[in-house]
Amino acid sequence: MSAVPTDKVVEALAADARPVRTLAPPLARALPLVTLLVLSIGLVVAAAGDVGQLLLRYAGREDMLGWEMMAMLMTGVLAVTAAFYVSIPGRSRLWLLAPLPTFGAWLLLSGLGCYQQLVRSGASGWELGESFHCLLFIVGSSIVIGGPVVWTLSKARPIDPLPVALLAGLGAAAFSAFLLQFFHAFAVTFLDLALHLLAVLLALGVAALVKNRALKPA
Amino acid sequence: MAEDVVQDALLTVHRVRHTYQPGLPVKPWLAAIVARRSIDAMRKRGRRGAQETHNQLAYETYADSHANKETAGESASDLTRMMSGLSQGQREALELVKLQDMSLVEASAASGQSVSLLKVNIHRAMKKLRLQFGKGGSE
Repeated sequence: MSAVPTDKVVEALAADARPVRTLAPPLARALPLVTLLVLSIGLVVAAAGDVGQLLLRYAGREDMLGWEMMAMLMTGVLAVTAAFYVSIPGRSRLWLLAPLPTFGAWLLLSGLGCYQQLVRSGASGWELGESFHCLLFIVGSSIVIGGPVVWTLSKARPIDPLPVALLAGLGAAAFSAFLLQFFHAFAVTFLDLALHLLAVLLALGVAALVKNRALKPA
Repeated sequence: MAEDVVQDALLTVHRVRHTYQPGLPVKPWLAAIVARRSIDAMRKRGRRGAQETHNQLAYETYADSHANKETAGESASDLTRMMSGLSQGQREALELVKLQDMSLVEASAASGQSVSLLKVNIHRAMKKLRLQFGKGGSE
């Protein structure tokens, strides 16, 4: 039994109901942000990335690398866009599934790349590269990229913050993994890939941990 | 509980009214808010239910020491009867360690029982009392 009668609650809320500025539709809010993120990544790559080294490393399988990186980028774009949709009450929950096909393709193509590396270099294809740096890179960069994403999402005060936070975390991690490719001086082995995946999971964990503080749910 | 959910949903509608898109049907927007608040309320009740247990005796027992006078005598005679059902060694072990708060070594010196025998006697005595208390409680 509630302490305050419902009609009193309605009266109090009606008295406090000042006009508010309506939030723009999810796509109209997501697109500028995603564009800004992609442009920023482009600028960082242009300033400090090593595209020549990337192509050299993947000599002979540029096509697959292209698809792999496209899958990472699209996972980032779709996850961030989906987070904007899911943050608004009443929008389709199917948006939760939007980044999964590209995320699956990303893992599949990366795994395939690792397998080729294993076939090419034998036992050394199992060795761990400098992946600890990659883990720090992905987690650190996810926090930098995820910051503005979460701040923009918090304007909607999502009523169910967990899926929104996880999508934002996945998007930030995918953009970070894409950026990492331009700073990755060695071919990826299965152990490296496992650490990359761990970094993505860590980014998701951080997003889930800070969801209430960062997204200011209603 | 239903009224709590209604009030919670009203508060949420008030807080997120800026997310409603004019021109779109209001029903899915409102239904999503009410559904979310109902789920939250059920989870909250589930969590609370998992942490609390129902104690039947709580209705008959009060914090005030005078409040239970009527049943206190009955309980004392029950306890005396149950204690008399224990063997001499078990009763002695229970009195020294559990009632007089002696350590096992002190109780061993006072009773002449070894520490391990004291442990066995206390364990058996507690088991027997628990059994008899259970029988008494179900009567």
